[in-house]
Amino acid sequence: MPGSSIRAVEYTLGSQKLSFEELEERFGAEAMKKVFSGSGIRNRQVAPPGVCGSDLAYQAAECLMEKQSIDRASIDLLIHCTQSPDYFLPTTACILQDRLKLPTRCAAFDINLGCTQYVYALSVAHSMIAAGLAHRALVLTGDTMTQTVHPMDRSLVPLMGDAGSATLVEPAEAGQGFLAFELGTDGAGAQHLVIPAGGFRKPISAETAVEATDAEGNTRAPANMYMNGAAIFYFAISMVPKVIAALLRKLDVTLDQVDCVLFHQANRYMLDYLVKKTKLPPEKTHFFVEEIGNTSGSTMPVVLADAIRVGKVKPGALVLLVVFGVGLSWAATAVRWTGDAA
Amino acid sequence: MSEDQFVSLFTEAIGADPSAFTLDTPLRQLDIWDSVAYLAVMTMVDEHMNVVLPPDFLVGATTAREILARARQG
Repeated sequence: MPGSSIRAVEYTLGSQKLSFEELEERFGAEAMKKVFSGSGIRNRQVAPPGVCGSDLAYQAAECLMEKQSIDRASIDLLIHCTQSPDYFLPTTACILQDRLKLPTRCAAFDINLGCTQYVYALSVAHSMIAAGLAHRALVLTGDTMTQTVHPMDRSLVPLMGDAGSATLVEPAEAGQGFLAFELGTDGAGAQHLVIPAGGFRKPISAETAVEATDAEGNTRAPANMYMNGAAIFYFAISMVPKVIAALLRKLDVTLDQVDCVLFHQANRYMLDYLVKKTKLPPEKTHFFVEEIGNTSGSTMPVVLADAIRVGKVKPGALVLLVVFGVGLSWAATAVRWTGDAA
Repeated sequence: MSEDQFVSLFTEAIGADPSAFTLDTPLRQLDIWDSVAYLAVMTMVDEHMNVVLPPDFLVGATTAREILARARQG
């Protein structure tokens, strides 16, 4: 069975900086000091009103194709990952196929997952290439989740940013590129990270716009994103070490033999604890959230691109990509890196 | 883990004054007993007692004594 690998990754951040100082004015200096000490996120890049996740994905894709001198006619699979689509229908991938001037023989579809979208999409691209259904895949991510957060929700505003990304996946020799995947779901935790209203289950109405303020002073309406941070943290520190262990068993290697483990960039406190709990030497991971925020499903391609830039991911390296979050959902992959070096 | 050790680690985790804190101090009377404190206690207990306490339990806990008892159950 032919393998596949990542050839290159590019990303685009939301163009507006939402600074620590702005949020100090909004939420108070003491509150922001506490948030920053836990999250490690000082500033965030957000998309202005009117910019969609697909716009960020589009910009990243154009950048990737130009830098890699890609013949657009050679792309026969477009997977676009988002939870903030342009429309309920058609699927945003179809719009991007036309916008990117990809051939009409290109399969195009969206994957509706959040924090785990990137690794799930890589698993689909890998599988379709292995099955002979595609030869060259463009995996895009793009979300503007900050637009779903109430501006006075202190539990989310300081954490979130917006980004899009583009990744080129191509066939590879056996033993190179993707070596294994580990995927999973626990939908029993769906209510812990949710936008309760706006879908078909609870359509937008006057009732869904009614704001309420919780015991910790966070204001939101049912049409806004809600996160039970403690429940997500519990899920992450309970599940992620098991996912890594399962992936290592599939590969029949130990963590010592892994060169770099990249995690979903939720917040610094969680990442530091996961590193400690998994006994991963800190130099074998990479953090890239302080100036951009948690960009939902784009955090993994963004941190991967930056890890390549700083030389932590280089040709020949064994790299784990580990993502977890809304769903609740998790995914991990092991990659023998063959793509771009810094 | 002894009760004294637990109090020391607990107060360090949530940033409370250890001289004014006992296992029976009502947690809900503390301004600092919030969602950030739940995470700090969750990691402290996991790190030192190898037990990940569910957040619903921590939200409902009224004293550190309850938390220690639950952690000791594993």
